[in-house]
Amino acid sequence: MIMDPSTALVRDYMAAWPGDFDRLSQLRSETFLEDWPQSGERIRGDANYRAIHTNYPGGMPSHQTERITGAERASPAGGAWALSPSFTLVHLSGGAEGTYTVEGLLDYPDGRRFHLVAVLTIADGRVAAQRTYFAEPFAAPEWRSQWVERVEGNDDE
Amino acid sequence: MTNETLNRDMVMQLLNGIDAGDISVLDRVFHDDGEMVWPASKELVRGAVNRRGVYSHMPVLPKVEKRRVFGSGDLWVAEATLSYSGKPYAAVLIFEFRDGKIARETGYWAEPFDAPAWREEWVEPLPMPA
Repeated sequence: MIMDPSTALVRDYMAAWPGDFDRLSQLRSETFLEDWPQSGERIRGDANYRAIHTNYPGGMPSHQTERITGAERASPAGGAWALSPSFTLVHLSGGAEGTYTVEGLLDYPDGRRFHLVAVLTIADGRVAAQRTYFAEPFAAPEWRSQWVERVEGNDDE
Repeated sequence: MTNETLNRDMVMQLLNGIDAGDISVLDRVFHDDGEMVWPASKELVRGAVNRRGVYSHMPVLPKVEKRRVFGSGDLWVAEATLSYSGKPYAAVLIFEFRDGKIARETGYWAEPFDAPAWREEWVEPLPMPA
């Protein structure tokens, strides 16, 4: 798989996320911002990120992931889809603006699981901004079952 | 318009159409064999017949407040607030295009929650709309 530099950066970053603070610091810009739209919170700068995550009640979540689906885009005009068995992320997709969308799974120490969606803005070879969403699994509604197939997730026990 | 702006326009048409309660927009922007994947409920809606079945039976269609639409080429992403009978979700929709129509949507719905007090010293309010 040929990987453009931004995709490689996102992959490195997500391999370090959320708890390899030193590596994350290296990969973030000085003016890093992380937004949590669900709670209306903004974390300004890497030091605040570190403070929150070292004080996270019950401890930080871990990833459980099994594949990357990526847009490996060498230039804005080009671009091809690649499917590759890999490690950390469920799905990774990218665009020419330097904005990448990462899908993954989060497992918290108390047993809760969330789907992660992180939108990363890359600038000058660093992660400049991140918007992070936490989507809770839910039971497929019965009313639409006749039109819907069940997808095997990588979180099936 | 270039192919790229046409794809973006398709996303805008979809969001505006759903907001207006016009489910016929789905057939205009999705391929007949297009898929909707909703990982949080492990559901896959495959093809136009099933898509119409689901959307024509939705108890309520969401109101759509677009926050961001970005992307390039055949990959576009929308971040939007989708409100169902007033209950809002922060949604992220990832669209993969093929030949000018949507081949696959991957959708996530994230519920709002109150910012916890324990971390307030390290955060600031997110300027809205987020």
